[in-house]
Amino acid sequence: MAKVVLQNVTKRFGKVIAVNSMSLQAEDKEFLVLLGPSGCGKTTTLRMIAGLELPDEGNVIIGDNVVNDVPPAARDIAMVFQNYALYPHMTVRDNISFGLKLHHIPAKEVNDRVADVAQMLELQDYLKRVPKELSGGQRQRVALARAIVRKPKVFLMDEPLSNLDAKLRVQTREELIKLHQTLGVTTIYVTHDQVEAMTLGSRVAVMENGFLRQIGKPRQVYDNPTNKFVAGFVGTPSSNFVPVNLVLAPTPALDVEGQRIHLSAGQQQAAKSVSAGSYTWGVRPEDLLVDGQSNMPEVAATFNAKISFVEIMGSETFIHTSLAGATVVMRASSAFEYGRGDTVKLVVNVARTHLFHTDSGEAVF
Amino acid sequence: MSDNYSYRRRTLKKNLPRFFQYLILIFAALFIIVPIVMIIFGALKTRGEFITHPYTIPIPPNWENFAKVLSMPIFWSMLRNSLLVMLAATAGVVIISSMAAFVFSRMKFRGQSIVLNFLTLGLMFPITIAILPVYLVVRQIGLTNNLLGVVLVQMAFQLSICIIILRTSFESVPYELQEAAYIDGCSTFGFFWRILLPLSRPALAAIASLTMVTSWNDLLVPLVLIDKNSLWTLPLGTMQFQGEYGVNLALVAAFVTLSAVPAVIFYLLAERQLVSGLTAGALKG
Repeated sequence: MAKVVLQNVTKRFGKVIAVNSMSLQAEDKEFLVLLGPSGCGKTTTLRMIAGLELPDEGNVIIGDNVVNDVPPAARDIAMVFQNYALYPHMTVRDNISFGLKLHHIPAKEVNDRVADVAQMLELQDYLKRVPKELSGGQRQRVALARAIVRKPKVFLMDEPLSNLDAKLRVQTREELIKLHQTLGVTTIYVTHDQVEAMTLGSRVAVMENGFLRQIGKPRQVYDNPTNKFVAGFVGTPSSNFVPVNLVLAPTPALDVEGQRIHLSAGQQQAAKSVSAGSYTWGVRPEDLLVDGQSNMPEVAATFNAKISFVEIMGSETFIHTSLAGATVVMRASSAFEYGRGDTVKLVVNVARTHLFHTDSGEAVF
Repeated sequence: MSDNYSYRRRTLKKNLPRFFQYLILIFAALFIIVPIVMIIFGALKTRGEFITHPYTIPIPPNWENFAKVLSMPIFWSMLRNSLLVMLAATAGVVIISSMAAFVFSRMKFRGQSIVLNFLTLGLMFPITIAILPVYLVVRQIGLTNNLLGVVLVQMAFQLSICIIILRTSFESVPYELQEAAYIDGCSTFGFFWRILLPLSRPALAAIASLTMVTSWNDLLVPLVLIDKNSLWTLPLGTMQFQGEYGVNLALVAAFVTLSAVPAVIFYLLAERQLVSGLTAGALKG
């Protein structure tokens, strides 16, 4: 068991900076998820921890040792690849035991450990098959078994669920959570799927363009994004962004097309530390309500809005409308009764909204 | 009725090209089979029969020619030489080309494409063009009248094509497998030996059988490099044998038939390897 630390790690591919001076710490036994859109550097980060890429600057530390120059095999890690990377010419048993044999573990112990893992992942009946005779989900479990059987200090997982169908993905996600609870091994998990990130991670690290944007518990990342990118990337449908003006006198408030919006006490306090001017207002779809359909929030702002489009999802309904010239999406219950072209009174739960600098995207509150 | 008519027209339309295809294929097959059968039949006739009835089926067969060839020590020494050369050349080509192909497919180094292009150029020079300088070089090394000289030259001219075939096959093995192997504790050679080579069995079988056939049938290289008759290989020996026993064509036919038998056996073995390698579908994971 070990913690994993990255200290100012930078990786360049030619002129492209894939990972930019990134510092991060995964605690012992933690399930840390690296989340971000494709090309944000999350897989490169994982590969540097694995030793498959060497950092150009900075240190990778596993346990108490700097492992920059340590080859992958000596790092005591196991990795699960996106397309499983099972050895096609070997049986399931040989695939699982390959690493153990290379580390000269006695045959009896190899057999015992393979049997244990096979039982844990319900692979007993498939040990004599070769990978192409298995379904996607079974291959996935073999890949997991191969990682688990080594009893490594750290598990590294590179989008291991992305090749499974939706139903199997949910099922395997649950299994992963259970496995992590049973084994208690530090796990670093890469995904672009924010649902996976939120459900699996003890903490989530959100990356963009090689930078670490925010790291925190899933709830924290969702409720208190530190910048506009995180607010927009985490959550479905994504957060709405509305251009606003911040006025500071007499008390800090927002000005949306001439309409003054009062802020909560905490928000006012935070707004005092910045100058007045144009900012971007972040409003989650669930913080937009229709007047009269639910309780009024404590700090509320009301607008008239015309519905341009209604998306019926079954369990809920997404309503597309506009606010201060920006298209916004609102989450409503499945019983939502208005249709396209109707005008409704839109209520914003102001206390839960966020304000971002328009240029840097940093959060004011 | 009209339906039936158009149906017949359609099948005719479909079958007519097929008829011609078969015709051409049958003709091509006969073109190859007839001489082979004639040689085997000839070998089973007496010298007199061969001259008087060259195209008949030998009844009863006369096994004397085979017995005579098999009792000649020179036949066995030629067979041994051919086998030695073929096995050594094949082993050498498989070992060297697989390692070279590994480097070209999996490692990046300065000038890689230049070296590879240079190697590909080797495909453009048939050995007939290069035979004189090759002879001079081999003589300088002192390997004329030495089977090793033949082996080295055959290998050299086989390497280009084999490296190119293997490189393509190696490149189709996904990089993740290499990374998974490294994480599992494989060295680079370990990956090559335990993962890459087993996965490339079809390609290895292909280059091995290609080299075997080329080496077994090679006349030019032994002809130029060998003149001691104890070192003759079968193709070279066949030529000499024909010169020596040209009057007894039945005996020559028996000699040719027997010298082809090992080649046929190797081919059948290699083909099975090839097919089993292909049906294993090793690369889909």
